[in-house]
Amino acid sequence: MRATLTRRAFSALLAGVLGLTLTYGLSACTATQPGADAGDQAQEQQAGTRTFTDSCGREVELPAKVTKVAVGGPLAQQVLLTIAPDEIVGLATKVGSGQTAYLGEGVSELPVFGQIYGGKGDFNKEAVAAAAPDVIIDLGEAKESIKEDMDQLQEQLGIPCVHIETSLAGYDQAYTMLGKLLGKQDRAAELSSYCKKAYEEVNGVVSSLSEGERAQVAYLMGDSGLNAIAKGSFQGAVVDFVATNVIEVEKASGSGKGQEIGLEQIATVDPQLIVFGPGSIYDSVGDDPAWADVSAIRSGSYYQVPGSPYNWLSSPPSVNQVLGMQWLARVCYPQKFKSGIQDVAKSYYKTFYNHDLTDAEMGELLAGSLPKDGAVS
Amino acid sequence: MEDVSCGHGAEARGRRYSRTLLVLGMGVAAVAVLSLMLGRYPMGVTDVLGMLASRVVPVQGGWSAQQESLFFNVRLPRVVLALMVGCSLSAAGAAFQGVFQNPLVSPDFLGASQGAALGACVAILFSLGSLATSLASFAVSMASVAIVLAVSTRAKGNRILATVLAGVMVSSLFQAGVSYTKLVADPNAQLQAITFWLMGSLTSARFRDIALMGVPAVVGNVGLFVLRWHINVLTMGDDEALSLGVDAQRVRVACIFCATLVTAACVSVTGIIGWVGLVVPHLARGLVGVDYRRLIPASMVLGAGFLLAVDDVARLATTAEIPIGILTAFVGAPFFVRLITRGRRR
Repeated sequence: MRATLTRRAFSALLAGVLGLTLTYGLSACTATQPGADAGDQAQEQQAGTRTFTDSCGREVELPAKVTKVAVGGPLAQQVLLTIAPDEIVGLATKVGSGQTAYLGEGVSELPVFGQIYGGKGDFNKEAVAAAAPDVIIDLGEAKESIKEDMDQLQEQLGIPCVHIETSLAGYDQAYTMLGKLLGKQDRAAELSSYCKKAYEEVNGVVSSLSEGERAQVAYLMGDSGLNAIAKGSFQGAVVDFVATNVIEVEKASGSGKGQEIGLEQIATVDPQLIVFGPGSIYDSVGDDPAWADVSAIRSGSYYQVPGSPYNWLSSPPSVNQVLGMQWLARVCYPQKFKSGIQDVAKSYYKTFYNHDLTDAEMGELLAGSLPKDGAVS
Repeated sequence: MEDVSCGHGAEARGRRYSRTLLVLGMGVAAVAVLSLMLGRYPMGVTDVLGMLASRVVPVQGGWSAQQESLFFNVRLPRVVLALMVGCSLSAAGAAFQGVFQNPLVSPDFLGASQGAALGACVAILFSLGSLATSLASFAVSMASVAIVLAVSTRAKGNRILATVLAGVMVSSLFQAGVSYTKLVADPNAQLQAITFWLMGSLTSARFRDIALMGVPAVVGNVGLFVLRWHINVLTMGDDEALSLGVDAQRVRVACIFCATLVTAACVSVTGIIGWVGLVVPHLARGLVGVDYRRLIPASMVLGAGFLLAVDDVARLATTAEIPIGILTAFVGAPFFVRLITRGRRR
């Protein structure tokens, strides 16, 4: 009796799973049909191939003209949306509704393929292959296994994979390489020179500071403001470059959410200036008695990092850092710069996203982000 | 507990069992064939069959080089791995449940998974590469269960209880070790790799991995298959077993060894995939009864099909992969609850 009943249940389950699999599979097949096309295309393009050497020294055969690219992760996604928004065939992570105002409506309709690295490990190889990109581009710091990983992925998919190293000081070089890769040298030169100029300006100011002149900053996240992006963290590179991060921990977490610390620790190191992440306690912290004795709060030297389309400082730390470093330096040392934050924001959004910031957008972006009188200098 | 005697009832049960196993086998074969056909990258049915055949007989087909690369390097190894892991974990789970006479036992009960995790984490910490990570994971996994057995044989009193307690102890010790490696890992590179490893996934399936784990997995599975009658005897109690000429402790150790062998082999390649080893034996029990001579083979076949079907959803449902551990729990847990409550009502 029992066996019959469960067997029926089992048959139902099996039928359900089979049906589900079939439906998904068929819908996947009908949704994307580049199979034969991709093959033909590859053959046509074989006539015009070229060799590209990526940042880890791998020589990769590429079609002469690259028209479709896939991104390996959120860092690459952010950079490629600035240089080749029309060539991207899929995203690493979803684009939120707040971001499309700057990135374009079309972006939110792109499929999400997941990312090669990172805790999620959700890179869907077949889905990427079905979108038939000419090349898969991964950007960021090189992992130890990067060569092996890229070679393996390239072999599995039969699609060229390249890694291009990015760093706070080297976005100009990354753009130059990308320009060569994508055959977009002019656009790359524009972006590259912006990055170079911005870095040199900020570097000129911060490298002339004595240790005592450097702002003592804490970068705090979370709705209680007790998650710190600590000194040396991958996410806090801009803070470390522009100022001195007073929150030191033994092992800085690479998480965009930071790591938990206590208010006591914050009070002990007593930062002169606090930068709060988006969605933090910025609005209410001024009235919070627990925070009242922290110098930065008492003196009003606390700010909220602008957050659209990306947080200007981190999460992910990509070319948004080029904007973030100009902002944070102006917040910390307002007298040292001729141009204001509004000018910087305008030119960045125009250059990178071809977006003219309206006054309303500017007001919303910079609420809580502008230097106040009496700020630390 | 079904008797060993023969009669009309037993004969009928035997026939029904054969039929059930046949249906299961055909179901799994169907899911396997379907899985090879289905994917985010479109491949025609004839192309898939042609590509498979081309490895045996010279066939020229209309498929592209990229299709061939994806099929042999991505899709086929993943399907094979899903079948092997599902089969192995379910067999190991069934065996453990029999050996310990406890329905809540899963294959990593004695610390095999935590051991594997620690081995992998340490290998990642020292940047030893993916091959060494798998090997270290396998070795530490086996070692962790060896420690459990060594402790339990020295314990006074109830052997089974001592084994269980030693398992709990070793598991939590190794769990602490894993947490410690996470603490000291470089947060930008190693920590991500560790987190990813711990999550369990079939996405990194490669034939090299399958060849590597294939040997211990096959040996362990064959061992469990051979031992399945002995597990039945174990369920009668040690004294009863002795009267049948079976040394219960020796059988237990042999079962634990085989089950650990397959678990370690799987976990070292895929990371920790939960639920399969716990749920599938129960499903199989519902189908073929509690006789381990039938339960072990049924668990193997059912487990292979179960994990393969779940993995199909993981790779097909959205354009990004869904981590398989989430899905095994989503599918397994409700079904498990239903199974339990139905049993209670009767």
